[in-house]
Amino acid sequence: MSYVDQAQSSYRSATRYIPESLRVYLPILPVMALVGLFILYPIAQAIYSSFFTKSLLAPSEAEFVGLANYVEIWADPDIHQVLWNTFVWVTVGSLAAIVLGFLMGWLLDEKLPYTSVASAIVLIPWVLPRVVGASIWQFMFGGSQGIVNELLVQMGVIDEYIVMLGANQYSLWPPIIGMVWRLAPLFALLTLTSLQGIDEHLYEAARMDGATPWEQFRYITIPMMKYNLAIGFLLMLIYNVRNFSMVWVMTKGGPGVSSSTLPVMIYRAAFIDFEVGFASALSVLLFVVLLVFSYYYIKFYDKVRGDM
Amino acid sequence: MTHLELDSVKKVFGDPEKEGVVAVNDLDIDVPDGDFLVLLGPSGCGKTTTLRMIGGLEDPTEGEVRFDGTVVNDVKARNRDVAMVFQDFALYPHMTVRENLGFGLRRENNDMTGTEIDERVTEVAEMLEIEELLNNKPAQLSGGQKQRVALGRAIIREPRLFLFDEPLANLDAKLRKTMRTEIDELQSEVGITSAYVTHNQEEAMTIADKIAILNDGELQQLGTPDQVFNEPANLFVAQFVGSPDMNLFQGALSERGDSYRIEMDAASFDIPKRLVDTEIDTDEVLVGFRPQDLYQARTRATNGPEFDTQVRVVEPVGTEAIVHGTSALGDVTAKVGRFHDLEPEDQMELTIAPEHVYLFDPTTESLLKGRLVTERAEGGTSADSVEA
Ligand SMILES: Nc1ncnc2c1ncn2[C@@H]1O[C@H](COP(=O)(O)OP(=O)(O)OP(=O)(O)O)[C@@H](O)[C@H]1O
Ligand SMILES: [Mg+2]
Repeated sequence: MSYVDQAQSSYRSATRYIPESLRVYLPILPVMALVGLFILYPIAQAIYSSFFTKSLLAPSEAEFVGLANYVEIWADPDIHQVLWNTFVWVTVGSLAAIVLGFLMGWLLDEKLPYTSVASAIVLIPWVLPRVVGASIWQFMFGGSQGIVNELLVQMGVIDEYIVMLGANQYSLWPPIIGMVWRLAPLFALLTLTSLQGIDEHLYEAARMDGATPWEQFRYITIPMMKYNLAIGFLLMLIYNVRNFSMVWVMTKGGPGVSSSTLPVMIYRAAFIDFEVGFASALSVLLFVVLLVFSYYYIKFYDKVRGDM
Repeated sequence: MTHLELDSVKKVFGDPEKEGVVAVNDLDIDVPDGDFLVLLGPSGCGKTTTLRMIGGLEDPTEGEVRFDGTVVNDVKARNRDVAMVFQDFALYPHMTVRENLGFGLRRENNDMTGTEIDERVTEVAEMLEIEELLNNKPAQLSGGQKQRVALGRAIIREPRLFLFDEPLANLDAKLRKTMRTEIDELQSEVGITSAYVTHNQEEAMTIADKIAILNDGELQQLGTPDQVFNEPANLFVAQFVGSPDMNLFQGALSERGDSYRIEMDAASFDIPKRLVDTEIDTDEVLVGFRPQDLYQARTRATNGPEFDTQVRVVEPVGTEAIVHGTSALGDVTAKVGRFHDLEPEDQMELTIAPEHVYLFDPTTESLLKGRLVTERAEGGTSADSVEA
């Protein structure tokens, strides 16, 4: 009898009072417990809380209100602005990060000298602690000493310093720029690795077939990278939807809610207004959005693996 | 239809000022319109590099590549109208076989309509017997099928030149033979000038109009299969071409009236001067016997050397056998006809006709006397069946 057989039979005898169908789950019980405790429980708790009005100041006075919090979201005067901001933030931010990142990755792919040094430098924004990166941008866009203002004046785009972070019409954009700065390197690296994964012979074959550089890019590079690009794009979307620190550090979501996104609104509701129920309902909303993105992410991921 | 010329072509990789790698040096090759050139040589001798310079994938460091007398050094690969079959096929993995075949026809310097392209794809697919595979992706094909697609992608365009880089290297022996014949037939059918890289001398001998033998980036000889077999320019060519390897022995040479006398360790013989084209003024020579030129003395008398040999190993090869033996001259390999009755330990006496003997200068290694083709009464091994 081998050790495996021995172990199996002693496992069977130790669990003989448990039905066979449940017995197979026993070994993964610890993992399931951890997942339940740290992942499922908070989610369930958030959903549960979203059905109550509950203040952080008086948690014991929670009152069941059914879907009232969700109705309140819909009625909230700020919610449309915030959803729109989130949408702009996510789409513009992700697209810009992808275009810029792709360009950077493409340049890094042997078209720049000292590729390895360059890749390391490019990664700095991603490696820096979020708050540090955000503070740098806040400083650059900030009031009277902001370097961005100085640059724009120098370039003749504007005549005199303007208020950016504190102006309703501009306040969303500096955090988006900061976020693109943070995410583009990640995408650059993804681009670089997928570009380097393309067999050089394919380009040579295409050249022999008469393909121009544009045609090589269009018919070889892009199709060979499309799954990586799609997955990268979904990753960017997810990062962007969740982002909080960049906005919070730079503008606190203001002035008003002019630069608030969903996570900022949740934070405000929970820790400034202390409305836990309302915040939970907003979180559930965000959760659903993320779930949709994740679903597509996983679907793409499976497709890529299936194609390989 | 293109007359291809390489004129003093040189390729140095890395920094030529410092210690770059000289991959190809001072290469002169002339391939007349419609000819099939084979580039043959050991690994790393510069075959692929030469092919890539013809195709425009690599720029020569020095020298000129000419198509029909026009220098094409500065013409981009995509404008040279040259088709290349890569050693690893390089099929586009994300495209179906149909798209792979049609890719070259869809480029902007090609103004065919969609229907014309489809027709041409079908035609080529039928020719290569891959019609059923047209909707498959390369990953779903066997090695031989990929090979055909790669070939199809090249021939579909009727280019000025075909370039083949060891296209059969990844195939099993049987498929290799079939495909070799197919490439050969196809090329003579369409009559497009071709350059074909291989390090398999047997393949080269079968398929080539002309063989260019390279070693260390230098051209050793450019000639027909018969020429490189019978009159190898030097010892390297003599040893690289022909199978099994040539037997080589040291000998002393002296003039004797209208003959040269060759004396080896245990045999000596005369070679009439009329069989020798060069003026020989060394007294040491390397004497070469092709295994297929050796006979048993009891089956055929010659004026050449005769030497006792003890059979060590008998290796049947198809209808013939390769016999490895130990002789008074040293180890010797002979190829004998089908009806041999040899077994290990047997004694036999081997001989060779003087016209078949090769002589080389031992210091320069250049050829002094090649193999003269004569009518052979028996044996069935003439230069025409070298590859057997
Ligand atoms: N891109 C390159 N950079 C540097 N050296 C190279 C490069 N390509 C080839 N070489 C060198 O040039 C020489 C000739 O290479 P090449 O590929 O032409 O050989 P080959 O005859 O095709 O050999 P094989 O039969 O192994 O394919 C080799 O010494 C090789 O190391
Ligand atoms: Mg090669």
